[in-house]
Amino acid sequence: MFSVRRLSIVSVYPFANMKKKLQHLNCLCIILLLCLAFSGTVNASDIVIGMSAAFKGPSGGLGIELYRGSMAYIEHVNRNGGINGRKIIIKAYDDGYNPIPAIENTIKLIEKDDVFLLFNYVGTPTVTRVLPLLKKYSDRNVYLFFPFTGAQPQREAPYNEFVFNLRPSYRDETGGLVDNFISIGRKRIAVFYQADAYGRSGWDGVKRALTRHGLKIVGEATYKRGTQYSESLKMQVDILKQSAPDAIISIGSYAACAAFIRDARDAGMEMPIANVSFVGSENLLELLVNSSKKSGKDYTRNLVNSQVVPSYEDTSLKAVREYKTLIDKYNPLPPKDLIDPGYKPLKYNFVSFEGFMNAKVLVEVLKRMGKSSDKKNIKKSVESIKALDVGIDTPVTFRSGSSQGLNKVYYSIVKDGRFIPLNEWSGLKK
Amino acid sequence: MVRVEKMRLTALFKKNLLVFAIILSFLIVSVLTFSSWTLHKHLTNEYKSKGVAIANSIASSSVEVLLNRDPSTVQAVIDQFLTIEGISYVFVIDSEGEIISHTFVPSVPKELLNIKTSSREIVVSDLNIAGKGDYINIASPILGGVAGYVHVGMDKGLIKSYIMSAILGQSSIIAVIFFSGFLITYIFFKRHINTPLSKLTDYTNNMLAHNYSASAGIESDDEFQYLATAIEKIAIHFQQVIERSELTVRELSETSKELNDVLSYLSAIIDNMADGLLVTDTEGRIIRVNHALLEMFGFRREEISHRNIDDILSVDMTGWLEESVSSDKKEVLSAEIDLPLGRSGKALATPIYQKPDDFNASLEGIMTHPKQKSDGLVCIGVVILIRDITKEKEIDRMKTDFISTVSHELRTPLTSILGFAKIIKKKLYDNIFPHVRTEEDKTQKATHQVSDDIDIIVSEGERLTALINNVLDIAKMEAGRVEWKMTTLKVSEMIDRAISATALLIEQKGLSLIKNIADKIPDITGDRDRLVQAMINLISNAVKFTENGSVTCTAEKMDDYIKISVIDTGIGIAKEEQEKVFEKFKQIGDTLTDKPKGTGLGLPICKQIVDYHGGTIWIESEPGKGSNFSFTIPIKKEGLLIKTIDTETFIRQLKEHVEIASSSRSEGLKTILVVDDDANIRNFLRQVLEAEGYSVEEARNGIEAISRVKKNRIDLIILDIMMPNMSGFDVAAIIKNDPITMAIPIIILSILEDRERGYRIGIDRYLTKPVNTEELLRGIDELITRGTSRKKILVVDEDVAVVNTISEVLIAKGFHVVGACNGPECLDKARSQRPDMIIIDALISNQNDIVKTLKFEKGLENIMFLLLGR
Repeated sequence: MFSVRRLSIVSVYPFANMKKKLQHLNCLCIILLLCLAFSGTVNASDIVIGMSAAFKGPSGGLGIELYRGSMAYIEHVNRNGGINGRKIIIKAYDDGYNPIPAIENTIKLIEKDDVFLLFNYVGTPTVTRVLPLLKKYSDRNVYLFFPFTGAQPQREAPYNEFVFNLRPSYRDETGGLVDNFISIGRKRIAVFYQADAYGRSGWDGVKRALTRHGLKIVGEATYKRGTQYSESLKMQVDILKQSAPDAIISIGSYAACAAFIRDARDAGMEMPIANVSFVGSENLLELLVNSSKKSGKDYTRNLVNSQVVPSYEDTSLKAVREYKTLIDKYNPLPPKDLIDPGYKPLKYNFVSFEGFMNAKVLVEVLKRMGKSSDKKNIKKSVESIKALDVGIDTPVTFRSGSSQGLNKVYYSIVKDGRFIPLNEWSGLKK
Repeated sequence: MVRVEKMRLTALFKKNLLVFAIILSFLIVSVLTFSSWTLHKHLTNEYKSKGVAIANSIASSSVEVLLNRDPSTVQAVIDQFLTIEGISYVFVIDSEGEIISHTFVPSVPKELLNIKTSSREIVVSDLNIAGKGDYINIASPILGGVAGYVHVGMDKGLIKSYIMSAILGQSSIIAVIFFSGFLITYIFFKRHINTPLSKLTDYTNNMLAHNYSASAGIESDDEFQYLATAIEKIAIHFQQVIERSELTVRELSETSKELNDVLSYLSAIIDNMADGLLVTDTEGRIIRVNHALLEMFGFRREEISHRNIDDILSVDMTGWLEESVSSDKKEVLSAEIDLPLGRSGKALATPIYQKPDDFNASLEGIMTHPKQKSDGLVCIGVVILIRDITKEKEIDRMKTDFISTVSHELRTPLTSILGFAKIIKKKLYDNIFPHVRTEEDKTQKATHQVSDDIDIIVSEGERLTALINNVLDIAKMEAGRVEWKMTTLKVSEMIDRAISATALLIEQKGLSLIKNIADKIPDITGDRDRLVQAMINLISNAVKFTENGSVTCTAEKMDDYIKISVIDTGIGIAKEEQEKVFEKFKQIGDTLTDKPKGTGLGLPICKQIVDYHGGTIWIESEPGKGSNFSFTIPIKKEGLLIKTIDTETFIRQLKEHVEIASSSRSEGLKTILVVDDDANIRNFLRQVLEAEGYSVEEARNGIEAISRVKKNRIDLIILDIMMPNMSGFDVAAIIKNDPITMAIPIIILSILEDRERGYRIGIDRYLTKPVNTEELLRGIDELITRGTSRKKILVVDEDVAVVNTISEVLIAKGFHVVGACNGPECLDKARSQRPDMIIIDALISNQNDIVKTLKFEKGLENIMFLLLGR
């Protein structure tokens, strides 16, 4: 990078004054050496991948844990020769789960940092707004890999050609939840969702699923993105209570959802409340457990979350073992200035496990590119992955036009302050 | 000062501020209203257009998305518009009418569930969401409604808040500007208007309080300074005026003090006067009195102030007041008045004149009713001086008593002496001497001796009488008790009379008399008898002191007086003696060598007479060369009003002209009643009367007289006045009032001179003792022979009082009187009554040609006319 830059700078000067040019060259060489001395291990051959995500704020946990999970595997790869000797570097910026910063970061990553590809973006509103950028920079072959969102826009035309998804969609998640709830006789389903594209997406998923059953959403309530756990969501609770649902599907982030669950349970609503994977299950659980301890009530009962990766409790899976080992070993953390001070990293969680899986698949893609660093070949590389075993109980397959690499939805339920896999729904029967 | 300033500031400021504030408020309100309304209108339109634009934009851009049926993309799109100011909500309805995307937290309001939409155009509607506010809902169809609808909600509340903040902002700005303006104006006012005004006010107040200072302290080079300059000039002028007026005040107070001193001095004088002082206005109202007067009358000041003087004084002042006030005369009226407690007072009243310049119509708050006089002076009233003359009167009375007593005591025996002496003489000569044998020498001698002796007794008696008369005369004159009978008289006539009276004397002494009376000597006013008396005195003196030569009488006219002189060629009088000559009892010559002749009272009496007439008497003499005694008498002045009727002269005149048509003479002897308390007088009179052939009755006193009169037939009464118990006047009055006796003629014989009273009562004659026997007999004769025939007399005069007075007298005399007041009445009564005599006022007679008229009347040719002239 530097050399290219340097040359470009030098080429500006005309050759008329040769002596001066040589002087400049000498100065720049000294500067380069100095820069090299300070720049650390950045290498011209490193593969820099860009990440804009929520590292701060109420959804900061998502970005941090995702980063941690990915970095556990990348670190392992980098220490073991990298990709053909090239290290993978994640250039991460915080967008606070807001679209405008996400756009700005993306432009920066593309224009300034000239990243190889974009990776691990978090959130539907952010990603949805970044998609047109991908289209704009399509001449540069900028691809977004494995965004942490199950929304439809990046899975459908016209943007699906610039995005590669790994996780199942919200439609998959919500559809599964709806099917299961109906199967146990809980037909009156209400939706609590974030008032943005993410919430709308989840809401839409629930609606479609219910339509398949010939049912409608019995009640719905929204909340503003960025709502803190300390805030009261009693209004929403009251609205939903009026519709007397059997189950509530909650499409939101952990702070707001935890607050909702707390207020709903306080209002005497005992029906199962289900969240999707994006919620940040462990973060959610942590808040509820703390409140439970304080108030003496158990806010964690009847809490069902859908997941897009298997439970990290299932040590029968190779990836799980690998994940646990590596994350313990490296305990990666995002740069200090990128995160809120006082954030306590979670031990094992679904988000970091998903990040681990994202990194594993990405490394595979990068390996299959061989020595070529031509971005044009990325697509071909991705689509070459068919039925790849990544150590979980389902293979990863990419093909042209397919929206995501994985399709299996897992369910978890809280028991003894921990998420355990939920295989049998009969316990939640009405 | 600050506080007063602030107050003034507030007042001035308030006025202006109020107007200012009203205008400003009006301005603010109208501007704010306008701007708010405009803002509201525009904002609303803005919002509407914004909403429309957004709705359209969303509608057009989300067609594919909607068609793709991806709500989250739609959501992502509509979420972006939430950030636009004014957008409250956006929601999208799909073709089935279901909301597929909305931005509501926590849920879609039910008001929006049935919003109106049109497939063709944008529908803008206003709605109100309960609990949230007013919104403008813009519904735009997507793909003609096939794909659905977009609803954009604009927050009207925002507009309202903008307008509110705009109003607030504007108001704040205006308020700030206003208050700054207020402050600035306040400062400006204070500096440029209030401060100079306050300075001027202070300066003016100081000026009023007489704290003068040169400058008001304003140098602002504007109208205030001009005003200040003007006021400073006023201050200077004012200061000068003040100083001048203070000076004037001081002078005035000094003057006033002086005046007050003078006034109190004068008041003190007036109040300390022993005589009473009374001042009235021209109508007789009392203006001022002094202490003495109040004491004199026993009044209190309040009692008589402003009352009319007639209430106080017994004398009729009003008539005199009117007269003196209206005429130009400066007369002094003197009158005797009665004071309380039996005292007598003399009042002297003089009109008060003032120059018009000095005159003030009201004094002491009282109108003086001034009267303008022809000589320009103004008469403002009368000043009356009253003196208590009780003592003087007492003395006077004592004098009079003394005189009367003396004269009575002297005259009474003297009458007897002289009377009897004369009788003796007559008897001697008539009856005794013829029968005396003159053969014996002794008898002859004795006869001659007796004859001489009796002559001496008679002459001495006469001399004594003369002396007593002179003494009484002078005493009376000095006491002012003489009755002066002032008439018009001719000088020549008077002198002739005097000469005839003294002719014998002159002849006896062998002197020649020269009379040198100038021509055209006007008549004088005087007492004929007294003047003649004076002349006789002077001539007698001249004869007495001249041995040989002549006595010359001259009379000549000087300017307004006549000078009469008696010049003799006698021994003259030495200068030192000349002064003493007019003193009483002084006679020229050595009393040892020269037997005093005369009484020494002649010249003093002459002086009194001359003085009374208003003239002067003097001597020019040189020893050995003779003497010139001259006196002057003022010429009678025109217009002198003599209203007093000289009754004596009048009656005499009457008598002289009345034909005594004697009817049948009464038979028998006439009886005369003699009334006198003195037996000698009675005796004397009896003898005299019986010698004439009268029968005489006597009465000792009044009561006896009256009883005799009633008892016997009396033809005439001779009446003495001075009698005990009842005076002669009383007797006469009684007799004259009794119809039986009223016709009896009465002759009063008295030492008193009170003729008027006598004639008033109705007596016929008044003679004084010692009596002139011939005169008495003559009178008696006349009266008796006249008898009781009553003659008719017509009295004509304009003045009824005159008619009455004359009538009274005539009736007393036994005449029948008829009265008339004017010419026609006179003629009328003359024809009807046929009087024997007409007494008529000359003026009426001339005016009506009475004399000529009646003379031609049949039967009235012989009427006697007596004209009364003025």
